[in-house]
Amino acid sequence: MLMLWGLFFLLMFLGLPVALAIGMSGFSFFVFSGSIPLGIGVQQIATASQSFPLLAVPFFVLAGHMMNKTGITHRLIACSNVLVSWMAGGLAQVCILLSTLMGGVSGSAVADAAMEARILGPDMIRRGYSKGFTCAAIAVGSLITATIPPSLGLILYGFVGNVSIGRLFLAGVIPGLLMMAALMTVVWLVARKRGYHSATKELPTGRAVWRAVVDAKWALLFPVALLFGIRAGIFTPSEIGAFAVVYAVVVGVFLHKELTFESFMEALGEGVLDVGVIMLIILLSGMVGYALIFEQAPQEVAEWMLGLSQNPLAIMLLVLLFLLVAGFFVESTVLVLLLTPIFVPIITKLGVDPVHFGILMMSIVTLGSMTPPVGVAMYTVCSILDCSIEEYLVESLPFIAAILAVIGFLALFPGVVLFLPNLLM
Amino acid sequence: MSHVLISAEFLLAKLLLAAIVVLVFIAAIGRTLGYPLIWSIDVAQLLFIWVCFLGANRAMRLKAHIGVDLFVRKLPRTPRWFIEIGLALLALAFLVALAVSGYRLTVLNWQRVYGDSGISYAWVTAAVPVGAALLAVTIAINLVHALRTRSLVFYADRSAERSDSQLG
Repeated sequence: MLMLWGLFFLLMFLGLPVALAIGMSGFSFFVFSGSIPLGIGVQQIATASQSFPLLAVPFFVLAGHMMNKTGITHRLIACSNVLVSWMAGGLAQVCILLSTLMGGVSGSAVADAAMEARILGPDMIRRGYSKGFTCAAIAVGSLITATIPPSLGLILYGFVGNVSIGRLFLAGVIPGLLMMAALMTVVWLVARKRGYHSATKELPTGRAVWRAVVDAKWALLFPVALLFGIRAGIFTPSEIGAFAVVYAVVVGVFLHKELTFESFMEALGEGVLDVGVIMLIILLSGMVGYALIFEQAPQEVAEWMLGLSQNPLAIMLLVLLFLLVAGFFVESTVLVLLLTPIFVPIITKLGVDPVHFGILMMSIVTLGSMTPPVGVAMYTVCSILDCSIEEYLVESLPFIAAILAVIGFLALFPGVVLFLPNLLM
Repeated sequence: MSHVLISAEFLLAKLLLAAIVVLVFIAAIGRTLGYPLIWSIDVAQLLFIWVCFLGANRAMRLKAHIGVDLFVRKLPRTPRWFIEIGLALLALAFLVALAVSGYRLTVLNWQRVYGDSGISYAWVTAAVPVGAALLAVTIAINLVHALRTRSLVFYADRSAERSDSQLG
């Protein structure tokens, strides 16, 4: 088992793509065990694809690409601009609000961060916002996108941990909004101190707000439509992604009239590429998953942790602290796939709702992709806007502190997270 | 010729992805209207693993797989290049081994029937050896190219950024 981990980190840090690193270390377990046939390893890869909830990954990835071709993104930007650009630090506020609104149509933090860095980033730097502050607001803000449903991370957590994806989705709404409020406060404080002015002088008129909201109505109604589809019993939470794609196509073709056949095929092509990248990691990690179970790693870790303390809160904080540190070094998808089956039984035994824990775990693990040294969202934004990691790090500290405060609050008050799922499902 | 094959692979992957969406959507609508289609979900899941490997192969060709180049990025070009070549050879060995044991498993699985559909489970298992073989061929092509031009096997040059992907 130690060799498996050693090999994984060695290969990964030498620069082998994460999917191959995890596949090769898992395969090594079968090769060197001597007694387990290699065929079982292959079987694990095939079995990993045969879980119905996992189909949500291609659906929501594809839905996100379709949305981009239907003019929904562009309308949401216009809407955010009207609503918050009058505040101190106006453009940074637009970033945060946009991440929240995009959260309702997109499931990936990195996708949202890349889009904002390309579209809003250059404009912010031109208006005198520091590069580090711009990158930090965009990158850390994209965590909201990953928390508000649909969320790829929560789908994976639900799939691996056997937790209701529908409940997880509902549970993400309030934490996402709290993060938005916290980050907007940080932007407001920093902007006031540095004199980052608002983009427009006056408050928007009621008419302007109404027009922007009406223009973006199909995007804003999307999460409501998803919820309705599930609640009406037409779609199960695993199938709702297929509805999301169809919704995007219908809006693009019949309502916005912006989706052409070429852009439709383009979206499919981009979807294929992203599905390939994400799913190769998930499929090849099937072998490591088998090795972990075979060696009874979950039981051992559980026994060790429960030996430390019997206080549920202390154990949970310990787990979250561990995830925070692990998130600095390991890509978030890998962490979810490998650690969910270890931690969910532990916290369930302690009487913590796995839905509550899922929101905390996903927020912390995804935060890891916004922090150095290994952070996909951070690298994406910093490379697009040509910002040094040091500058980013300094400016991101207040944002990260705000997020950690929100996560701490959510850890102490499960009722805030569980309110919506208990009310509606 | 290879250009035609690449386009065909890409088109097939796109069609399969679209088919999965349609199959699951229709299954849900059909069930609601009282006409359940039991086989459609099975077929969707069967196609899914093929989409995954075709997409993964395309990503390998475009050098778009996520990797951590944090530590090796700081190395001078020559040692970095040798590390990449070594990793590529290791990856080739792994994928060939996977393809061979996958082939054996597929032959064994020919009798096992999949879900309620009557389709052989071998159609699912076969995606693993075929996918591994495709990835091996792609890595081999990238490797030959890297040996000729001293480029990297798994990382594109920074100038050619992946602008069309959601993952950045």
